Amino acid sequence: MKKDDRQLVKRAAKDTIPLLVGALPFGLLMGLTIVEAESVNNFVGWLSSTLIFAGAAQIAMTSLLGSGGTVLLAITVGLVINARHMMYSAALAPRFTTQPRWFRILAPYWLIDQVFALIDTQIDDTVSDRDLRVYWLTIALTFFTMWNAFVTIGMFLGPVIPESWPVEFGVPAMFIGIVVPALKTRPAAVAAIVGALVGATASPLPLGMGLLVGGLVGIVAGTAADRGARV
Amino acid sequence: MSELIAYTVVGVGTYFMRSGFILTSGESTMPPLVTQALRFVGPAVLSALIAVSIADGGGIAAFVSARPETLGMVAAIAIALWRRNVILTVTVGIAVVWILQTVMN
Repeated sequence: MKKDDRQLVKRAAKDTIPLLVGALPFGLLMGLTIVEAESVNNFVGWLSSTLIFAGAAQIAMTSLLGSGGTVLLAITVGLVINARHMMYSAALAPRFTTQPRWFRILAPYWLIDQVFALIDTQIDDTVSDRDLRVYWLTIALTFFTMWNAFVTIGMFLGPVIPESWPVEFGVPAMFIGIVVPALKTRPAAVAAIVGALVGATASPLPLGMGLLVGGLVGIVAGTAADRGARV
Repeated sequence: MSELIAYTVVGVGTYFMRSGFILTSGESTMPPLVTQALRFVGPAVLSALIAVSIADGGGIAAFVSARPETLGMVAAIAIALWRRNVILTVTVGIAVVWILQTVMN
């Protein structure tokens, strides 16, 4: 491995560790959900981490299937919850135009919220294609390995975290830690504030659709603010 | 067996949603307005993700009221701006929510 690569891998690892702290309780909860869903075979439930690799959809689908929900409903729920990934794909597409084909095929498999958040906030557009690949693969493989480990531990240990601990706050808190310091322009701040307020307002919508509504309105608001600022 | 089918269908669907624009990138150039809008996907979608999680299905009323989660979010934002450290943001955020839940209940 080249010296530059080693430094980049180190930096990627350093960026990833804090996010693993936020993902740990979430992974343990997924493990517990699999064990508690009696009609779902434990191995099949565990396999969802490889098949889908998206915590929120996995938890929603598994608890639904475990409580007598139909396969069709579970599929609908999983796909709607994961629809936000299309926006991540669109946002990162410009960085892939000159990447080799194997990477364009392989990389999106790991395009989870955390990978998108780190690439969007920590890696600027001017980085070389090779450096983007090294950084992406390091964070992606780390998240994939650790997510599977957390889920497995959760399956064996069961409810180890006391219920009074607000561990579900770990996920929003880690995204606050990445997103807030990265809001460097006024239009970006407008996009974030509008996205949050509309998302919260739409949060009672089923299937996590509040997130899509908030995200889309936030994007429009940010773009409008950007155009207004330039006129 | 039917669970395996459900996970596989969603897995394949999710892969296509994650790869769609990336696989077709370079085949056509995007209009400038779209390129401009795409820069706001990060701030808008991730902030909506945070807010939906904090509101927990309670709408805007829950989001802006003095609940432990909302106050924890304010504390986390303050720490994130002040120290720019994700672990510290997560730790302080969870601690604040835990303390307020204990005190307020």
